[in-house]
Amino acid sequence: MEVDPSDALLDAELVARAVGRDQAAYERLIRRHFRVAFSTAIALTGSPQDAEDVCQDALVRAYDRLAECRAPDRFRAWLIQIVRNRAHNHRRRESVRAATPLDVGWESPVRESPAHDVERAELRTRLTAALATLSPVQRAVVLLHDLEGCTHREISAGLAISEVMARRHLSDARRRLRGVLGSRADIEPARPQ
Amino acid sequence: MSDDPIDLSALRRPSDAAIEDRVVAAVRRQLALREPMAPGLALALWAWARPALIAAGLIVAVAGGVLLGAPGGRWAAPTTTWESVGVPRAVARWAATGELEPRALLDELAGGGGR
Repeated sequence: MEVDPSDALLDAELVARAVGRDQAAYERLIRRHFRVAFSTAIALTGSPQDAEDVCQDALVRAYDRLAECRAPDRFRAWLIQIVRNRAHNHRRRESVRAATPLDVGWESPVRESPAHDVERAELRTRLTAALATLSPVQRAVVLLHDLEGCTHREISAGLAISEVMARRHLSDARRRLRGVLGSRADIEPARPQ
Repeated sequence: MSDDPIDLSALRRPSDAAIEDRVVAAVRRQLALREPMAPGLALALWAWARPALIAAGLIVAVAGGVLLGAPGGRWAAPTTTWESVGVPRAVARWAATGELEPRALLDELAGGGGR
């Protein structure tokens, strides 16, 4: 999903206002890109709790460094970069403190009732387990591309890898996920008739 | 088919919105702490601190005047190495010339200066 040009303009406008210490503009901006930031953080930390901490840290840091965002219309890629750096720092600290296995699960600490959607909850569990078999970078690439609709350009800029590597990671991740999940119709995209 | 996107939308949960609200609220709180001080509060603090600052300024001015205005006094700046390490001028002169000037030494020790 390419970013709509008018949306890109609006990002740049919000960045300009936020640089002028307009916190309401910054809140609009981070709400718009929160899911991308959170997906990046959860892919790289492997834990929703850690992802929350990393996101908070990254969003405050991004505000502090907003004036350094050279292409405000590409704010999303810049934010991914900051989240990635904070996630790496977080993992380094965690690895010093205790060797926590990465595949600790994707489940939110807030439990939801699966009664109305048992199938979806079951699929989510399987997807979570399958994603845990990927490397953090593969996980980040497939989540950012297939879930959040980021472009390869944004992913490569955000994760500091080449576009070729981003495509390769995506292809490997999809192959692996399909291998783990089997040929389930519910993970295939809806095809036009 | 292997390079088609995978439908990962099942990973979205209703609780995602709560996480977003929680993180955004925490960020908002942190940023609010850095807001510049409100003008009213700054004026109130200045009104409270001004008398103390004026008093401190007067003390420094008076004490400085006393110290700087007494060139031959007890607090005059040392002019020789001996003085800078605390040896009275009369003793230093005695060491240099061999002539003891008991009167000058007593005066100096009493705070009257040795010049």
